[in-house]
Amino acid sequence: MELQSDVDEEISFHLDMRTEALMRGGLAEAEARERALREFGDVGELREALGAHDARAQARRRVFAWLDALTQDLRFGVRTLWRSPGFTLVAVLTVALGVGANTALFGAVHAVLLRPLPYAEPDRLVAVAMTPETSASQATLLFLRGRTRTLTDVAGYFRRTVTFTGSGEPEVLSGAFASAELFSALGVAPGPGRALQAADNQPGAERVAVLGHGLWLRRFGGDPGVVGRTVTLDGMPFVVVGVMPRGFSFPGDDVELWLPLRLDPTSGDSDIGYLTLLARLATGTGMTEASAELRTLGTALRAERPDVYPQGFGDLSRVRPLRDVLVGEVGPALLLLLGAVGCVLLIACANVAGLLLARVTGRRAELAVRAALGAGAGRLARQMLTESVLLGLLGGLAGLVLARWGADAVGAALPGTLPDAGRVGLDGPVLAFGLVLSLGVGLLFGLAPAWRVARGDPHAALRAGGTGGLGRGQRRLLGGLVAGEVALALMLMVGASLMLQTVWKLRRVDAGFTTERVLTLRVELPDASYGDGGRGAGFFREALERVRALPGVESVGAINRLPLESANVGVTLRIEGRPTPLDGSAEVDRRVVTSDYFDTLRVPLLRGRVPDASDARSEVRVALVNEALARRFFPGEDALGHRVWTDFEGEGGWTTIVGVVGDTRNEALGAAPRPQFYRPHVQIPAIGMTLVVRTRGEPLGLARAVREALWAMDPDVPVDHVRTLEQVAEGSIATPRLVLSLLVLFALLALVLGAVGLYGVMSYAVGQRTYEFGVRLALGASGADVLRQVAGEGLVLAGTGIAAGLVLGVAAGRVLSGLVFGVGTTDPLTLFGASLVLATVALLASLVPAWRAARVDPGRVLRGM
Amino acid sequence: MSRPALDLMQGTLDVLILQTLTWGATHGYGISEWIRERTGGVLAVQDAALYKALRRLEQQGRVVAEWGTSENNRRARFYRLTPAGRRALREDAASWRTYAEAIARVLDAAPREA
Repeated sequence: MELQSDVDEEISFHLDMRTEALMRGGLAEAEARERALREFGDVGELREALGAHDARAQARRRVFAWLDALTQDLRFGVRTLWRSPGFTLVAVLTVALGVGANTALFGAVHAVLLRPLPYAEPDRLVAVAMTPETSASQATLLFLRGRTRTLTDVAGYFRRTVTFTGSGEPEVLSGAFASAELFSALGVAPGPGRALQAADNQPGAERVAVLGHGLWLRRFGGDPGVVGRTVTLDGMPFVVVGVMPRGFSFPGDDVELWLPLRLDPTSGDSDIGYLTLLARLATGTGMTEASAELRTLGTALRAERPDVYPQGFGDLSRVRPLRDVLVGEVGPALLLLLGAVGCVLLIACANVAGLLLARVTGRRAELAVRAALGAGAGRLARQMLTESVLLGLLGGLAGLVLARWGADAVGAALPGTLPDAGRVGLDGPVLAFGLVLSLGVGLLFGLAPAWRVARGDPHAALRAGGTGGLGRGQRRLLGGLVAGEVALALMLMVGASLMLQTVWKLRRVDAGFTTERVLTLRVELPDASYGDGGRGAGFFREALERVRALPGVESVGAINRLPLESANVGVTLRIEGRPTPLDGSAEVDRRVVTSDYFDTLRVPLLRGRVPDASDARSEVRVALVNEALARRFFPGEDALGHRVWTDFEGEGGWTTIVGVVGDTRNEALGAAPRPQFYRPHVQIPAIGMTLVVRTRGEPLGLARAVREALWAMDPDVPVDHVRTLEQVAEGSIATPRLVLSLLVLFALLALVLGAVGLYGVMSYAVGQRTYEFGVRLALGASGADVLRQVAGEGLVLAGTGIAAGLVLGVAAGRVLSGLVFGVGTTDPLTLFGASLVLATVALLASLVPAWRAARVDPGRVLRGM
Repeated sequence: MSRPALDLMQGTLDVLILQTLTWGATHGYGISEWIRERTGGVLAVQDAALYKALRRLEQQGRVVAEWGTSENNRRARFYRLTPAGRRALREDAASWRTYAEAIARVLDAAPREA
């Protein structure tokens, strides 16, 4: 190593000089050398010390030199960008749009899908399902809890709204009924007080409640003395036993109250599931083992109770990460959007790369001069890269400003039922993502120009007087970039167009009921004062009469679970005189309605009659069914008069079908109507009903009058969820709408960026070929010929992109297949339409440069001006 | 007690080196000879320590080194005083004088009792 030999040389020089001096003083050579060495001290140690020191010093110097060069490059880069503000503005804006949109969306992805759930060891938390659906019965929960070895803390819960009355306005809260293991599974402890414990789940135990932090602050002013106090929920007294810490939410941000599930070991004879099960993987077990064990347990459970559990029960058992169940369909939708917004960024990169590449040619003279002054090709390439990274960072910073608003907007668009998603924002990881992204794009779009500079011979440019265009290779690269942009833009257009049609179709689908001019209000009667069946029925009978009498009201009805809002509750339908299949094929949806419900929503009565007040006193249980049920269970015969039995809520007993009504899409606008079983409110006096009020004018205008009419009867009755039925329907398609709105935004961005890219490349090409056009015009070509030629070249570029984009578009359709409704994912018309739009935009983007080419003055060009 | 003495020696050596270099750039051997002559051999400076001190001064920016040719035409590393080194020498020399005078006063004081 050179440094060490220098050290050696310095030391031996010293020793030689000293030896010579001592010899001049009269010593013999050997003696002189020995003395010189003695005077010197430890030569070996010094050698090493100096060698190491010099190596360190040299490393330090290299770093400083590198930093120095970087500072120079940066300074020069800033000056260069400053000198061409137009280019810089376009490039920075392009990057800002790309990085901003990506960062904002990543903020949502991070909050919903990546950030660890705020529970202990969240990666060991799993959702447990014995059937393809996520719901399970009490019996399944108790069975699993007792038998499983691969899971610990098996817990069940379901969501329900709970009425809070007493101090202040009545309020309907989102609550969760849970088994005590929920809290040990999540590994959270309350602030003041305790969590639910196993004894709370016993039938007949004292009613207790655990409050959420927000609720505690809002209704109790954060008073720790609330523990032990009694609150009124659903009209019944509950003792507050604990308050959860700030930031705790489960299963979604909207839930503020946790109440004990009543687990009755004797009520194990039902396979009706309404619980979501979760658990913690036992130490040393993975999801595969747990799923395998569940399948074995499912078979065992079925063997124990063959009358309850259907054949093959448990075959499809599995555990999944808990997050998958909590997040639901929003997760895949977000990932899909992240892919789409990534395409926008790629387009933005291609655009800036094109601009930079074209600029390199324009800067030939400058580069040549720098090369002549001694800058190597590597140094020049580094300068190019520094400039593009600088652009990337500038754009990224501007993008982060955009992302701040974007993240807020995306956060607001997310449903409130997600866990811990309230904080969509630019926190550490998201900011880091944005910065890394801007660095990355800076490097990415700087590669082409840097490579070109590194390979090119700058001296040739100097000799050529600073002119000259791109070589064939570069022109092809530029063309490829533009074609790629067009292809990606087309793909996004196809996706956006499919979603547009989906939402359009969903809004126009015949739901079987009309949503216009219908006001809906949720009324949950407190259980304590109305739990006795007769009183609830009386309240609603009188309430409906009073509301009907209000001016502006055409008709009014009520249903226990509003279509498009509440999930189905499946019950098994047994038909008199027939065996009941237990494989789930006899499952129907059950709802409770008042007699005017169907009239109010314009659901036709096809056969028979609607039960009325006279059925209240009748011993005969009656029911209505929809056409889908009649068709499924009574094909080719009349459903009327048949007697059926359902086991819902111990309501067992034979029920006679007295009417058939039209099908309605109760579950989702995009799902075909399912068999539906309606029981009259006069016989099943449910105390939680949603009023549907058909109005003559704007529905929300009547909200106040309706509420006051109800409160005049009982001021403690909470009236909530006041919306129009149209709003309910819109809310049910929130996910497709979220995807649609963002996808349209991204597609438009892509279209604009693609057009700018094409325009930029065509303008540049025309500028480079002025001489050629001049010659052609001088030789007799007309302006129209040149115009046609240039526009044609633009269209060829666009056409290549469109061809590739069609392939991508078909792929995009596949990806969207889970969301698309009412249109084929490879709909030819959609593909054709999107291509046409892009071709038109491409033509427009090429026409301006083409027109400029056609107006070249051959005289000036040929004279060399 | 060896530590303060060593520190003192180090400081001393630095001052001596810087002072030597005010006469012009020279190599390590030159500095060593100069100190030997001026102190009449009283201060036995180990040459190894001298070279370490030179590296230290180099890192502090008080001297710079570059390769040159010696009086007998050999390649040698020459050390030159920098403006920062000159400044440091002025300050160190002043405090050295104060220090030396203080010691001298203590030693010169006549004993009161035998």
